[in-house]
Amino acid sequence: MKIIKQIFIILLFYVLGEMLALLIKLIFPSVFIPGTILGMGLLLLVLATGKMALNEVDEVGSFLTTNMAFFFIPAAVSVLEYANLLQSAFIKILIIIVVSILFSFFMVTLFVKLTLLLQLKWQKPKEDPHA
Amino acid sequence: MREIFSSQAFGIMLTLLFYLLGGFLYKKTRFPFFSPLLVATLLLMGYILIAKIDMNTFLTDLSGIHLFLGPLIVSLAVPIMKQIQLIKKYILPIMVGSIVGAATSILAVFVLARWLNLEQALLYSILPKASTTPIAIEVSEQLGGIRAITVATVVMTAVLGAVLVPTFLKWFNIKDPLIIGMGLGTTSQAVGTAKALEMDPTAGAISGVALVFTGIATAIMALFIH
Repeated sequence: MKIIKQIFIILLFYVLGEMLALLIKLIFPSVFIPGTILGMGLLLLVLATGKMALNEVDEVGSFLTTNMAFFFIPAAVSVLEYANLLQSAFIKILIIIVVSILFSFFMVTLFVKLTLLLQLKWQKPKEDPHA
Repeated sequence: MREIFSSQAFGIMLTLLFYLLGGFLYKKTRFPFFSPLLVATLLLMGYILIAKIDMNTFLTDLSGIHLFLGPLIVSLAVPIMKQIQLIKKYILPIMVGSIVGAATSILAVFVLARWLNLEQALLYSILPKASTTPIAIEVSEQLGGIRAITVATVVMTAVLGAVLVPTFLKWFNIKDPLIIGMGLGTTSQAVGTAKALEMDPTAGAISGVALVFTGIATAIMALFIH
């Protein structure tokens, strides 16, 4: 019963997120936030504010997130469906993907380290006003 | 006999088997290209081509697995909640990193696509590849890209990123969960997050947050490309 309830809660937040996304789209047509991310935000909100205990979703949530890669297999296999579309530019697209992953990774690492360093510099005088 | 091979249960069983096989190969060899996702995907593609299985029927058979993608993203609230103190502490570097991740991906696509003489429609289809699939589709359609190409490139980026980034991390001997999570979350979204969770729970939670911010940053930046 516990697992069934957890599955229900997670699906409920997924549906709520989708509904909220639809509502936002009706009010602001140019703004787009996916329902799944809104659902995650809502769930995080009730968990963080203590409205719901983490153990109400822990087992199923942890099962899904720790085995996440498995659930992407159908999407990955479906790339085959677009083989004809991709064929002509496949190598070019592959080059773009690989180079941009490299570039993004190094720049993100650099900026994260830089931000940490600056944050440390800013926080130090606050902790010790006489320094 | 034929009914058994073409049943939904057989398709899902085969997927589980190939995924387990990938996991086994990875455990034995520690070779990054033996990621269970990649192994299972390539083996299933091979199966479809060799056994001449109808692609659409087969994907419908696997829809039971696909169904969990949405609830899965919602479930990311669980690992994030478990690491909430740490995420609050590092919220600034996570946000900066996500914006940089989205911007560098867009910039790299622009520059490389021009250099390689890629068609305009293809360029717009690839542009949002750093963001999670639902955002990428929306952005691509707004810009005039091709939906199918966007889905394919997002998946390819995610899988390749989840294979390449851990390799770089190993080369440079990076063990900081913040860098691991940011590197994977900004380049390869949910698949990267899965990999990050596998490497370290803290890295996984950070990656989950980075995935959200990178997606939103991409969507906002796309508004200015118009």
